[in-house]
Amino acid sequence: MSASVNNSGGVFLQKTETRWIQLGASLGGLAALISLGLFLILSGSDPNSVVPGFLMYFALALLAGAGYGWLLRTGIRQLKTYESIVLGVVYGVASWLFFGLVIVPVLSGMGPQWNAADAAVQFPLLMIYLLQGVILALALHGMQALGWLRAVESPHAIDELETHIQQRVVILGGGFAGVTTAQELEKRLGNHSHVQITLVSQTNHLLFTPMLAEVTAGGVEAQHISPPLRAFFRHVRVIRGEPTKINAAENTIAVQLSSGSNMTLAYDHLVLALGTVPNFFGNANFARYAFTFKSLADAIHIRNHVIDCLERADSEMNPERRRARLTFVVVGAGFAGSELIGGLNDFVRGSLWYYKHLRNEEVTFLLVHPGERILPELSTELALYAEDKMTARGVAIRGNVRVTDAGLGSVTIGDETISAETLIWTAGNLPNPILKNIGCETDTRGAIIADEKLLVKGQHNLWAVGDCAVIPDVVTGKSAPPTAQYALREAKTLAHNLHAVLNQGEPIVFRHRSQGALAVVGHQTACAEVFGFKFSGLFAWLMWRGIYLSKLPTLEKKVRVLLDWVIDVFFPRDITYAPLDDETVDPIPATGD
Amino acid sequence: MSARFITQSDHLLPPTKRLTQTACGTLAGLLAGLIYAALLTSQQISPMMNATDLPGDSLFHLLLSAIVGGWFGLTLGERTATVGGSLVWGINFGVLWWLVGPLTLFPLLNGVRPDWSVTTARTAFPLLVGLSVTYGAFMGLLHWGLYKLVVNRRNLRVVRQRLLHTVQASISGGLSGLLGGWIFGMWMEQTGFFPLVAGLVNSTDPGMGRSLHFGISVLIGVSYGILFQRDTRTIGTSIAWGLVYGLIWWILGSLTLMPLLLGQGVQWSLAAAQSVFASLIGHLLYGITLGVAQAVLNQIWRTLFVDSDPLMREPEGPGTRGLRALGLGAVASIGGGLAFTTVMVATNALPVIAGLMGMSGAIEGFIVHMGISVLIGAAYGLLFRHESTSSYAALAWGLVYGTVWWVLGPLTLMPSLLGSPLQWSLEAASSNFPSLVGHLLYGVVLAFVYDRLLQRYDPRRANAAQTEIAPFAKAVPALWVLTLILLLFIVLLQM
Repeated sequence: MSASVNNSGGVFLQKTETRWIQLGASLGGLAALISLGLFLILSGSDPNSVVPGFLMYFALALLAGAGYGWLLRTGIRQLKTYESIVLGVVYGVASWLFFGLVIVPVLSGMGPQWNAADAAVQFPLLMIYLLQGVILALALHGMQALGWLRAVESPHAIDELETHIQQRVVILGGGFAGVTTAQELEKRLGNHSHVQITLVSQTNHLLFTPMLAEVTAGGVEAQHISPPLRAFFRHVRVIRGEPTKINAAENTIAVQLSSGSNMTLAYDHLVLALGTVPNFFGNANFARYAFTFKSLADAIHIRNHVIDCLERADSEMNPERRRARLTFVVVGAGFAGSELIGGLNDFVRGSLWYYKHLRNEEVTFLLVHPGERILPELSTELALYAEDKMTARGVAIRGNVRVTDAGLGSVTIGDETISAETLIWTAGNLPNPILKNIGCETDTRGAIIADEKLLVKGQHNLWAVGDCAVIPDVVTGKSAPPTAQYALREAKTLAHNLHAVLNQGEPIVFRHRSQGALAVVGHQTACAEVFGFKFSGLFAWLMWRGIYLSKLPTLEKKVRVLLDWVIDVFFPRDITYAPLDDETVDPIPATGD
Repeated sequence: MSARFITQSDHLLPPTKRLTQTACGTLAGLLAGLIYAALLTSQQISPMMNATDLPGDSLFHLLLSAIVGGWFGLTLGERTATVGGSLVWGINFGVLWWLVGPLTLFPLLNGVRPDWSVTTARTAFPLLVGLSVTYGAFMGLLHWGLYKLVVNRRNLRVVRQRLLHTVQASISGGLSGLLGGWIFGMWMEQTGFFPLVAGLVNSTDPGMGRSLHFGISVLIGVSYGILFQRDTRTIGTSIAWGLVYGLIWWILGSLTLMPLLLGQGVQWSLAAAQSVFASLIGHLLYGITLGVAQAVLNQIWRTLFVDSDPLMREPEGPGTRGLRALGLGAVASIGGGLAFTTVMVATNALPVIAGLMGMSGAIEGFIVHMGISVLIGAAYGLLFRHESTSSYAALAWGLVYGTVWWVLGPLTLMPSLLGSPLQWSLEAASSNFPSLVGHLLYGVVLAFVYDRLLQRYDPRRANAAQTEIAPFAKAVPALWVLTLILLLFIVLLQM
């Protein structure tokens, strides 16, 4: 608790909840003494006949006063004098009813005095309790009015909170890692307003990436898988912007806000949860001509582009140009690429019946990857199953080869160049480039190296979590893989450690054993490995849906996604083409257009 | 948070306004004191509780009435913006004056130490009755009327708008009064009360009595609609308004006007009040029904015909907050139900509760009791979600809710469901006194837990603490005290 001098020169005590309780108890006891004293003086009654158990009466007054002080700690400044008196009266009557008629007699061995005759004997106590209540209420009200007492601030009064902040925790990144860290830390800190948590994110929502492919394939609506960040928090300050510079020496961050202006944030502890950006391996053509698949906007862009390709192909007379429009290349066969191509394949082939001039055999889906097999995160058996299923449904898979270049309406795979108007890049990620300039140790990819307690090496107030960090997993002895499952667990450990450090406690090491992985490879078909057990087919698909629906944040979004899936059962795919306002010309426009 | 609590602050009243309010209060106090003194002395009761100098006491009392009225105007000026607010604050003042005056100061002036015993309180019961309604309520009404007369200059457009609202309020009040009268009438039918009512027109015909009863019910309902049209905005507060109005009309009706019209003079003595105790419960039930029905009709009117209610507009669908309120109320009721169980175990009431489902064991009774508790708790969540704006407000509303359910539950619904006559007699109320404590405990725990849950799960609840209170909500603390005054009446009548 700190003390400072206010403008009028009086001593001004900053009150916590504990202080209010203590003060309430003290004043409750004092009010009890005064009210009893006044009653005895005016009435001339025998104290023992009025209050047989004085100690009990006094103890209950302390307790009730403490409760009264706690109840009024935030709202007292809105009360007028007469309202305070009213509350005192309510307090008095309630005390008489519960203490005078029930609790005190029961504790004294007399039993509750709640029949008419017994209550009549206790009637004089009503005046005492009324007086006690009014004195207590007026005392608290008077102290607040004179400025000797200050109401506990509501956590939503951000500007007023500024003067009470003792520690600032800033979290960069609004993905799984950043949001979970903020959520868990907020929960641990409770209503302690001396720690301000700020979350800086480029978007105002949390993207539930496992269902992103469903958005592209038209299975769910875009906003249904992205709950707003502000829905997660009660006290966390959310800033929509992009960090442009981190100054670890001065503990500041420069942020460019969504409005275009800039601000500087100071911190006591900084959490780096900035995730990754697509890795184009230095090829500018990939950046120029390929679609990325990292955000909601990406998913919607891809979907719009695919529908646009179908529309233009349907009216294209030239067979070669038509084929180019109906050729879709996905680079990278991890979870993102495999699920995406499986979903798109179903979407396009399922929508062909709308387009009378298009034939199934004209559509080509090509999954290109440099490895031996797709889905390296899964076992060989499941990966081969997925390959077989995707191939049977018309997805061509080319392994052991890389996409080496892209151009206007063309993609070069190895030495071969094919005509394709759609190139989607999911072939690797790099940690956010801003991390390189902090001056901390990074690996060859640029990921921040942290210790097992998630503290950045060589730093005392920099923490890292999620895909942008290299975090040792003490269970496996290797680095934690960059998956959502690990990001969530890392975030919970980090929140615990931050809370510990803020309260002079001891942080713990991160440990997690993978629970498994699931991937959808097409309509009603999936592969899953859960706690070592393998599943495939429809059952795995239902598991995938059930597990990810349960993990989708907020009940509202769960219901919305469930309704989307139910509607999907009864109605065909929606091929509405609805470009976003900022959509520019396609990266690979049709040749000859 | 919706705009319902945004209003202009009138903390800084110009001195002339305060002076005007004080003057109006003084005059109102004087006039109300005159009525009160006249009625009291008609019963040969001294306002100063001194039987030896009636005229002198009455004059001195008038002086005190004027002073109290002036103090009322001075301290409560901004709280009397609505007629309902003025009325209930006036009653508060009347009862406060009963505590300070007849129970404390007057004995001292008479050279006797005040003892605040139940005997003294019973002796001063007629003064409580008189001071609360004929003095306090009239003072409040007169103060409001005088102040509006002196200060306000209405234009024609405002008058026309107000007229439309008044007509609507009258109709909804009348319909609500009819419904309340029908419920009250069931008891009157049972006890053969209608011939007594018919005596007002020198008849003994029960049919005439029934017609008169419904006519009076409608009129009281209309008066409720007109008087409180700006006060009753939510169902939760309307329940409290109805309860209080029921108490007012028990005093005004059963104890004052009816005996006056029957040529018996006002019947403010304790014995007279005890003899019509059952009618008190009937009036309370009438009032609760009136309050709820009127609030519902008003809500329908606003939904259908008011483009955008600035105070109660819900931009989201009813399911968004309604379902949450129901759920939180149901969860909170578990705490309340468990607290009430302690009282039920102490009074061995669980087997009786089990009888509602045709069973007889304590365990079955506990299950039935918790089931009822959940339903009542869910209803609390729905009806009082706008009222739970702070922890202390929640507790006060819990007391109100507990009182309402004591009237509705053991005295009315339970005997009806068990096939017994309504338990509105003094003896039944006395035997259910522990149940009153239990219901109050239930209400307080329910409201407190609900408030904590609301703080945790409804972010808009936190913003309620930051906003100012609308004019209609300024009378709410007075409603709380009036509920306690009702409890005081019930306690005194039973002793």
